[in-house]
Amino acid sequence: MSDATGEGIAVGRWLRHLEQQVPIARAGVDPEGAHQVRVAIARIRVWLALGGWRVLDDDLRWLRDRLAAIRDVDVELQQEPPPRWAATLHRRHARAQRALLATLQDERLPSALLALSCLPSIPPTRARRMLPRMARAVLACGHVARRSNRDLASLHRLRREVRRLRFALEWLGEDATELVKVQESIGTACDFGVVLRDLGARHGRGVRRYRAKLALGLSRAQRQSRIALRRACPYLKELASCSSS
Amino acid sequence: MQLFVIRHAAAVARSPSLPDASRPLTPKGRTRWKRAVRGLESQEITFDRIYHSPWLRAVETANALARLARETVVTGELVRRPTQALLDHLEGDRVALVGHQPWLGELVGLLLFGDPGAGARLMLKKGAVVWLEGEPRASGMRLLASLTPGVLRTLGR
Repeated sequence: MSDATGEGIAVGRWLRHLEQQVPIARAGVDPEGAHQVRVAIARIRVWLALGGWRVLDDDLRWLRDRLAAIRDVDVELQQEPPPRWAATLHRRHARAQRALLATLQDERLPSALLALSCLPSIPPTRARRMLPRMARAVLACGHVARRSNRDLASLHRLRREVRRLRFALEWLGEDATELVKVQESIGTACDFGVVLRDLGARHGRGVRRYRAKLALGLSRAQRQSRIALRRACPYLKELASCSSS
Repeated sequence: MQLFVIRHAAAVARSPSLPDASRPLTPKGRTRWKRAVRGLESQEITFDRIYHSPWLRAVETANALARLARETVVTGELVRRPTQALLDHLEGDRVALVGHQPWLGELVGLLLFGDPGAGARLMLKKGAVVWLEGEPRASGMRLLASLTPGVLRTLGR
């Protein structure tokens, strides 16, 4: 479904989605609430970039950063950790949920939502001018990730740039299927990497087996992300070389 | 703290069909404000933070200014009478507030004289900047300069 109409690209649909998910995230029962708030934030930040808006990005980033802690714990709990580690994660989740509640009650959030609702639609021609630069950013981050042997930080940066370009294409109503595959495979690798990093040097019953399971998952996901990115390369190069129209 | 109190640039007139919060800048207001921002830039003025109201005319005004700032923060405190809560909120050594009359005038009156009513005597045109220095509390600041839009645009030439 395209958000682009004859009058321009409106933020409405994803803004409404954000507004609907905030109470779910606030309730703290369904982890999907916090995740969907982050998804909406990421999409709206790309919309702001397409429209040349510098303001409001910091406000959305503030909200996203405060959701990060709870999101990381949710990801770890999905990996079915050993019981003692799971208990630690549940305690961490409770703390993160309390911090999140304070954030969702901050007046900065309704102010940001009001400001976003007042912004005009973006002309598609203006938005399209951003695509080559975004595609070049993906290619550059892919190059860095390859050279750094896919360390976690470079993978995160690559995922972020792929996601930005994907969302930009979707705002314009264009097909981004290839980029979805790349993003998802890199995302899986990043999730495994984060969980392994957090596990650190812990010992204990079942931890060794758990760590081995995660390492195998990471290796597979890295392989898949390499393949997906290689397949998307010609398309990215074509986008990167497009002149504005 | 150095505080720059900035009234939004010229916006379209009120209309029954357009909510007040959604009134955009006029094309002339936008162009003139860009020149005024160049005027601030010519004086090497930068900001740690810009706080702006969520109403579109303030959002647009702050957006043009944002390249001079490290961070921008939207706050509903700038669409109501100034309170200590707003002042306690402010962080940074050089801070800009982008908002609306009569509240900005009341804020300046509070900061200079401890009396929001004194701000009624302040002529704060659209796109004007009042530059203050001191502590962000009642009677805690002194006036460094009051820059009209015309002066700023001249500096920006």
